[in-house]
Amino acid sequence: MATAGATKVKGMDASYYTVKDMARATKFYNELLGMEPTTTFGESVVEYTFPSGETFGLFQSENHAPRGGILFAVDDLHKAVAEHKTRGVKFRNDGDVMDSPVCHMAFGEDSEGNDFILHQRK
Amino acid sequence: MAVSQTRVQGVDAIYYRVEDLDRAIRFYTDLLGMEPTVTFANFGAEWTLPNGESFGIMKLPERMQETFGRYWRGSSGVMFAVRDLDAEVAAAKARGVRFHDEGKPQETPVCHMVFGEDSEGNTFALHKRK
Repeated sequence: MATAGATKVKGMDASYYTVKDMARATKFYNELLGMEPTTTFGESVVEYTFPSGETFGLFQSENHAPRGGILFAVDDLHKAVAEHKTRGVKFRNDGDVMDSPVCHMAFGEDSEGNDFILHQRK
Repeated sequence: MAVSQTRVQGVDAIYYRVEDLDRAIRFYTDLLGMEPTVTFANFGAEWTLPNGESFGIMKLPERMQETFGRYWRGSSGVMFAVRDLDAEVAAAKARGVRFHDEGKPQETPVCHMVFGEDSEGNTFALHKRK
């Protein structure tokens, strides 16, 4: 069953890669992307927002394994998580919603073991 | 700040690797609330979302399992849009960036692309739409 309305994914707010060494990774992507980060959150998060509007981010993780995660944008996160849980989608911490200064997030896992995040901007 | 005209212009698409294409298509059709916009037989599918961004899934072809399959780890496949693929690959190689197949572009019906590895072991692609 497809979702609709406020629980439907409308786009990608951002895509993140995990990194072990933020200084090294920031240098790598500054050169690859030809730009400096547009946003930094503390010492463990940087983001590059392109003029075309997409956002690519880096997250420093202590238990590092190279992988990424898309932040899918929804308008009503709690409702969306509830809907997907009834379909059997697995979420970390049973779908508990995590708050950041700028958003709410729930961490899910797809049928193949990839991570994704349902994301609602504040 | 202004972005260099010769570097990455944006994100064309983001792909996840999958093992079972049919199972994964069902999963994302439900999650995204829409049918795939494009399907590539025995290879992958892509959803262009309402705001214009593209998310895709792909099952690596057999011929790429031995080589590329070793370092494309699942959810790690941002395709950065460039204007001049050969020039960008050459510039990145000169900086020591590692590319699959020596940076030789692969051609699909809709694009040319080269897969590389970042400093942390993540996979990315430099991508030029046709």
